[in-house]
Amino acid sequence: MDAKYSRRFDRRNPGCLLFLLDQSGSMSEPMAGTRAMSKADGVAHAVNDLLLTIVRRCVKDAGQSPRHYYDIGVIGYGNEALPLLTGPLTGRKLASVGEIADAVLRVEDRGEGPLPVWFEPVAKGRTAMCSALEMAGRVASGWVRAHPGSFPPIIINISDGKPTDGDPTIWSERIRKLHTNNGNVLLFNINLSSGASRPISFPAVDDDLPDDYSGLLFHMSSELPEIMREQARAMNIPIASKARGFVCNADMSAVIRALEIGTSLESLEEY
Amino acid sequence: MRLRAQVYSVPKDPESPHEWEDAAAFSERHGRFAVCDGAAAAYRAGDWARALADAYVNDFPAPDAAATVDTRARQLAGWFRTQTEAWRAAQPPAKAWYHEDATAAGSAAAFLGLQITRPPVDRLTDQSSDEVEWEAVAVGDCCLFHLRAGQLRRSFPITSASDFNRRPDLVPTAETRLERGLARLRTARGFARPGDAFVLASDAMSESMLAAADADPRLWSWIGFYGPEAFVNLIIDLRSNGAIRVDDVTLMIVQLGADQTWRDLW
Repeated sequence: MDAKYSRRFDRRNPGCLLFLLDQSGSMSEPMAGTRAMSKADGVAHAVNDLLLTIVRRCVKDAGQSPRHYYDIGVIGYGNEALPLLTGPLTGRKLASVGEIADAVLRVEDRGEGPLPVWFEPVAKGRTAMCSALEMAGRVASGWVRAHPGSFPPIIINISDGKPTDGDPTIWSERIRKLHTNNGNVLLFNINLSSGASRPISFPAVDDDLPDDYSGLLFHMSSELPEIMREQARAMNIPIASKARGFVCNADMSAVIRALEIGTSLESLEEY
Repeated sequence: MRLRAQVYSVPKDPESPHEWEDAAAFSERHGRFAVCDGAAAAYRAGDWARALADAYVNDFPAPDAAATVDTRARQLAGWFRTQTEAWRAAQPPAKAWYHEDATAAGSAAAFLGLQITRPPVDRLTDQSSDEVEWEAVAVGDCCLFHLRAGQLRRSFPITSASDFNRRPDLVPTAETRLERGLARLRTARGFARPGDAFVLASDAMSESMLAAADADPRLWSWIGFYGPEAFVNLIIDLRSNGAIRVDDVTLMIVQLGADQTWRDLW
């Protein structure tokens, strides 16, 4: 059997990426590390960029759709959790990378080639994070049953505050128990900052975290597998062997780095 | 001197042979042999590898014994520029925004070409022999192995299995990255004689052979014994043992002076 978190991605064994985006009212506050961006702007920008990067990695053939190396889902949560894919994918919790590529809201032209936009920033309502985790768990549960031989799903939750609909621990524990035969589902948390607090990226212990809620998110987060620690080291980010997929007080650059490391699967993609 | 080439290839997924993104081309008559490896992440990588290999065989400037190293380097760089310009001019129309994006980003491939020529008499090291001169040109990690009597005389441009990495040098098609790629162009020259053989291989095969030959150099005497079917089985076995990366595999064997078989030569 393959070592944990080593299964290569190909069309018979695609991967699964799920993004959970906080869209609560507080996301309208300024994003640390930007000039005039709200947290909602920053997250929409980072996820749109990330989807573009993933689509690019799957476009191989002239005239063909991107290869089906990934299923991707995006769930937003404010007063309730909702799948955010639009157009022909409205209501879908997961879609192939090819379907995602063909379901952009619009393509902008800023003089540097096409710039696709999938999501607009939203900041409204409360923080139904537990509902989003429950929805993600259901999606991941169905996916691992259908893809027992694949690299397990990666779920990345980006938020700026505490859930208003309960204790997320139980949902995160259920998610992290799900598995394929290549490892357990990976759940990562990025906690956004609007202040000048120093980001704490990928801690291995909870000693330096600023408060109990950060500690809770730390313990909800999976340890980073070696393939992602390797990527972090390649980006000159110091990383301990038991580092968790958790960023506290994330500013814009910490968000981008975390998304890059949390989806750094290129070396396992079919080649 | 007669040259004879054979090509063996095994796609990364034997059930999807059309997704082989290496390329091999040769002309025994012109003494030109090429193996290219389309970059894993690149758009139309197999097509670019094929275009480079074919262009090398059909249209590569012959080495000029009188040319200085610098003159030859400029000539080679000019040839690569011409190929990339032709590639960019012949892109299929984009059907979707992501084709437009991918076309702008361009393609990339590792390149290895071998040209064998009869040198002027005054350049022969042994004027009574049937010696030929060879020139190899490489960008990246496709490798050339010069064999004589079952032993490795030279490995180019990589000499050790530990020197392979996941970010090889490449010939990019994008104008903005081309000069950086061409700065990585390497050349080698030497002499060969009847009975010698050259092996050209894409990266996974090259790496695996160098690693295996460290343990048992007799590898170089038996590598040519495989027929096409046995070669496929060898690669499948190596993959199942983890002795070769799962990647497209291409091997070209060029025998010199060969009315003889590989068995006769060793």
